[in-house]
Amino acid sequence: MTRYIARRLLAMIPLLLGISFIVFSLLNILPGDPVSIMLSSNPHITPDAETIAQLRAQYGLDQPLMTQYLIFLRNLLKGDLGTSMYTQQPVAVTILERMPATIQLALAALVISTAVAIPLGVISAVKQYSWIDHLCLVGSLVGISMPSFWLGLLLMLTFSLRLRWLPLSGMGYLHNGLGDVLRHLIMPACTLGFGMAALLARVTRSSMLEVLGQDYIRTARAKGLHDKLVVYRHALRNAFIPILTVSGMQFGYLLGGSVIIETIFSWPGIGRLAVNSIMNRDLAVVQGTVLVFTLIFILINLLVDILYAAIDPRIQYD
Amino acid sequence: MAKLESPPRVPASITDGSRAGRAWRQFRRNRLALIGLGIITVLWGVALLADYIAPYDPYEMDLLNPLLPVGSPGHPLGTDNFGRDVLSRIIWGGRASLSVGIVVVGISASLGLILGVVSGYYSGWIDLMLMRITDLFFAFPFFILAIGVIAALGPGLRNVMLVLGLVTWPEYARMVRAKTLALRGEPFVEAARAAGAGDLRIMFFHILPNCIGPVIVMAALGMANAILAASGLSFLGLGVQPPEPEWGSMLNEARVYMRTAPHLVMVPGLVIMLAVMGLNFIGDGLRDALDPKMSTIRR
Repeated sequence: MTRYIARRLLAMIPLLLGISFIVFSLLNILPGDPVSIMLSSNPHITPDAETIAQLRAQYGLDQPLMTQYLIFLRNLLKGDLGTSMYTQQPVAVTILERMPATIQLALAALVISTAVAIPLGVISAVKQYSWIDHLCLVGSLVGISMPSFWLGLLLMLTFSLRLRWLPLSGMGYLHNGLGDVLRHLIMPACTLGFGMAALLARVTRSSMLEVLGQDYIRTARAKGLHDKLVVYRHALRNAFIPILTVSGMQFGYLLGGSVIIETIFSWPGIGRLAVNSIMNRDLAVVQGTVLVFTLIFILINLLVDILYAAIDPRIQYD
Repeated sequence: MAKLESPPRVPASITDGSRAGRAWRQFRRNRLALIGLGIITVLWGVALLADYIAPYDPYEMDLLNPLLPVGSPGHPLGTDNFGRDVLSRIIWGGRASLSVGIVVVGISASLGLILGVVSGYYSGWIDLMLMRITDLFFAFPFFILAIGVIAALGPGLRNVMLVLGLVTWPEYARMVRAKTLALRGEPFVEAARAAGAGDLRIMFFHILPNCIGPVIVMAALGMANAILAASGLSFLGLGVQPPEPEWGSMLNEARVYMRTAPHLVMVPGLVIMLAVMGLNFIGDGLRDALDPKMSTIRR
């Protein structure tokens, strides 16, 4: 197991190099000069050739491309993501400050969507073609097609503006009590988790249906095991691999969705930082956020792979 | 579609037309797919005929009548903060969704088809390299990558379409590659080669036509996702720029007036959902009709 993890981590090195190159090219290769983009955002500066050349030298943009990339890589390894052209703060520090908010939101969305979707999927499979199965089907069809930003606005409209139950936006803090945290968290987390829940419920249903038709389930029932035990212990455990795979893949969409959700709910996370930085033409920060989101995503997928073994002892990794 | 409604009276499986005919009969039996087809036909048909159908100019402001509610005389869906007719803007906004759907899928499917068939046909180092590139694309959360590239290229509908096309092709490439690997050794390919067909001819005239079923399914679902992503980007202010009518950016503009004019939030969101749902239904129906073995996991 340890050897498998080590091998997987080693195999990630070329992938990480590729990712770093694409992220690097966002700022340095794609058309659009970062320095003139930055200067154009500030009306008080009339850029003359000298200032531009000076700034280009300051950010290392006058070096050959390959040198720039190597410097970028060397800095990355030191945990240096560059300096924000807007706030003059180190990008890594800015992102680290915002990280807890995004993690809180994403985890809450993940918890809510699995807590809702897996039981619903199981019930739909066990009671196939019942009214609850049909209801879940309609719900997941809507959930897959509904734009998250629209759902977010509808929730805000209902629960904040009309009923006045929940705060309109922003994040709660623990020193104001757990209630404050939860009241701020519930709407954005539900919005973010809804689409994922819809898909997860469908996958759980089809995966459970497949497992429930197997012989060992009939055996378990035949030997008189309690129905709940058969469904949750024997069937669900074996249906879990596809569920886990989809959860892992969907986590990327969760991260992408957080950009939109954080913007709607003024959530002080990395997603909102990314959007604000695009508006401020602060490409170094955008670059950093893309990199961090992608790293989280591939780490989650690695974790999912490792979790397979924990769930299914038949999977051997040698 | 009219041609498909009366399939030729030849035994099934002889000609291509009958295969399409059989698929259409299968598709027709799927009620959700027909609903989807209806929704999309209406939304895009109306968008194409916007010049004749839209009651007002979508840019025409009427500052004396801002934020009229749904059902106001002359403005069935009300007006926005500048007094512009919401119905007309929704109708014109359909054009953006139509072009996003077609252009994005056009770019990603053609790139994916070409790279996929080349990768699967030649194997070797070309295959290895192309597949590592697709791995790399799959390592990124797709919306995040799209945002990063938009940040570098600048906002606007053209860049959004370009970016979404360029980040979604690997799905098509993987599928076509897998199909090509399976078909490469088939007798009909051997026969074509024996008859003197070159590599290009075999790839594009013999192998690719056999991949078309799953590609059509992916294209329908891909359009749904492209429209969802593009309207999301417009909502963030990175896509279509105001005052141009587009459903996502209409929602963005409506946020400020949510309290006083909730219809400005309701209507565009509902239309986006209908368009995405319609395409998803069509995609599911096509999958059942063309490619029953394909998995139900998507996105």
